[in-house]
Amino acid sequence: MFFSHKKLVRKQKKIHQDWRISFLFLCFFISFSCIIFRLYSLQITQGAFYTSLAHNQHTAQFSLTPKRGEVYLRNGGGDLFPLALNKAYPTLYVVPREIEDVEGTIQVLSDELKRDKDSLRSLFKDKNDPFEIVAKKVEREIIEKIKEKNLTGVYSMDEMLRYYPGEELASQIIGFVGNDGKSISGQYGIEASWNELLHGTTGSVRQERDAGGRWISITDRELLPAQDGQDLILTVDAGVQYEVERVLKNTIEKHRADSASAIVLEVGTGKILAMSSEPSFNPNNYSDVEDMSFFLNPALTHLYESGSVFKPITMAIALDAGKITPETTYVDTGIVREAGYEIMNSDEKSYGTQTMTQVLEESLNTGTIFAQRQVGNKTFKEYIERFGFGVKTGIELPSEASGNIKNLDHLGRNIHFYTASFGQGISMTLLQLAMSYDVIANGGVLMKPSIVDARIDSEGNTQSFSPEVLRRVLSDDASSKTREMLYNVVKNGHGKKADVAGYRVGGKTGTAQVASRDSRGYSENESIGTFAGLAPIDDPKFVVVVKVRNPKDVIWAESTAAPAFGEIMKFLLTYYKVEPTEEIVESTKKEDI
Amino acid sequence: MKQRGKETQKRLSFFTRFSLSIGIFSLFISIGFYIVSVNALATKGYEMRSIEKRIAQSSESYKQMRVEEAQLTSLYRVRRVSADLFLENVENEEFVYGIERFAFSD
Repeated sequence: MFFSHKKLVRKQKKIHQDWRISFLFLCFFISFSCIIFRLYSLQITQGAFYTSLAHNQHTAQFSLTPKRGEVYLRNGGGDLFPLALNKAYPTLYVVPREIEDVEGTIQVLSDELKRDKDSLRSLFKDKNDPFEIVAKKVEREIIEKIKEKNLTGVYSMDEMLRYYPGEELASQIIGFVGNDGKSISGQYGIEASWNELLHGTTGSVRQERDAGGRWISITDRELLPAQDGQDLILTVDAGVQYEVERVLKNTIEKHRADSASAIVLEVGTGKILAMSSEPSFNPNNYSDVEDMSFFLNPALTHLYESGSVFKPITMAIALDAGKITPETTYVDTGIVREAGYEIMNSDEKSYGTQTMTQVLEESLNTGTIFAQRQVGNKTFKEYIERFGFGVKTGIELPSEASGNIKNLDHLGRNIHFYTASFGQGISMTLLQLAMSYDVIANGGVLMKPSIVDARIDSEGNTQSFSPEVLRRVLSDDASSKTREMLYNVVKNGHGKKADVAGYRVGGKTGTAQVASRDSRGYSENESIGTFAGLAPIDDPKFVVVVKVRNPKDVIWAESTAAPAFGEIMKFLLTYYKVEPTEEIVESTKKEDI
Repeated sequence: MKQRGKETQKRLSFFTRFSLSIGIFSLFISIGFYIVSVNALATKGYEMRSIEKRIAQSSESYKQMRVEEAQLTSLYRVRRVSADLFLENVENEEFVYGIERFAFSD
């Protein structure tokens, strides 16, 4: 009995012990299972998420900004003048949480930067602010003066920004770089139209960093180098451009004109040696300009009816079509009637029997109508299109207008063709007019105008752009005869003030009416004077066109645009050392005219 | 025979001793040369870094000077400065042709 009781007690004890151990094992098992489950959840189910989170913490990625390409002008011989550069501008910034003496700092900044204290005080509102920009493009002398004060929390850093050392020089050609709301990019001009090439390609670098944010150099690095932008060399010459701008400014001032534009072309290549419109602006301070129309390039964007300066085109067409010669005569009665309209000469006179050369010398509307009639409407329209009117020239600048020759679509409406023969009823840009005179100058070929001469890649390799021939428009003979007629205009006609002593210069004036904004017809108070010409006649080197808008003291182009043309052409012939083509005789000097 | 053996031993020993001497001497020379060259190379790294720094500084100075040069040669600036110096502007210049050189006399 004793033994069975002991046995029973031992058995009970054993059962009691087994139960506790089992319970303990169960607890361990449950805990362990939870841990396993949690590990599974973190590493398998959500593994990708946490890996990514850790990756972002450990990895740093930065964009590498490429250096923007620079733009140069030719400058006399082989030199280049930088029109657009990248310059390091100091930016002044503060770290408000580091500043000990706020009022003292504000006082110093206000004195040195000449700024209101209240506007500066707003930068220090938040004591924990890590960064606030105080001023950009600060002069280095001012930065040095501020540094001398040993202010805590005030720093400077260099920021690469665009700089235009020429100031106003060729401002409408170059445009400027600005923020369009999305990014910094070229606005207007070359900066806009060649933005992709100038900008280059942004690079990136991705590397692991430690807890302190420092690069870990022994780990893998993904580097995509930035590709710097390419530099551009323009066809424009800095000296010629400056001279053209100076002449235009003087012309505007002298005649109280609203504006003036001019283009200088190198004959036979389409290269633009100068293109200017006044008033213009300084691209370094473009934000100060109130009238945004200053940013546009009127030589490309402004359409106008050119007037009598178009007459040589009509004559060239008639000559090339074999319908007239420079000696062909007609009888000028002073008036042409068509479709209920009366077209008279500008001076309302009649001149009797006149040659085609005299038609240009006296700028007779009736004479050009005669020439156009010989050609016929269909052929005339085809020639106008071949000259490139009504379509863009394709120059590498933005916002070019195409012109309007829609009035010539109706071949049966003679009145439109008559008026078109002397440059009214069809509109064109100054560049289109210049290119058409280049056709006359170079022997009859229409060239594509170009303003970019070459580009230089980041490795220094230069790629030049060749002149592009679009098509033949006139025969060599027709263009040569037209040039002689233009010479007679300057020698005997309304272009005397465009003459340059020692050279055979040819050209034509044009004083056009301006379409009224408020009603049909033309405005009585506005006019645009144009002179287009070339020199030397026998072997032309330059085509120059000048447009003066709304002069207040004199109306006629022979008093506004023609003298400006003469000044520019004289400069060109001397600057490029063109040999004189005739002896300088006292009576050919302008002051005797 | 023992005497001959001793002489032979002496000859071998001299040759061996000589070779050993040359070898040890060469070893010391090589070690010395190695130490000198490693020392020299070690400092090159610092020199290179210093030169690279100077190149970077020169490059920055060159960029700044290019910008200054462009500023100074700007025709609008030249005109402004000439006005400030009360210099007369040349408006209607006449050029003399056909004369290469000429002399002034008092």
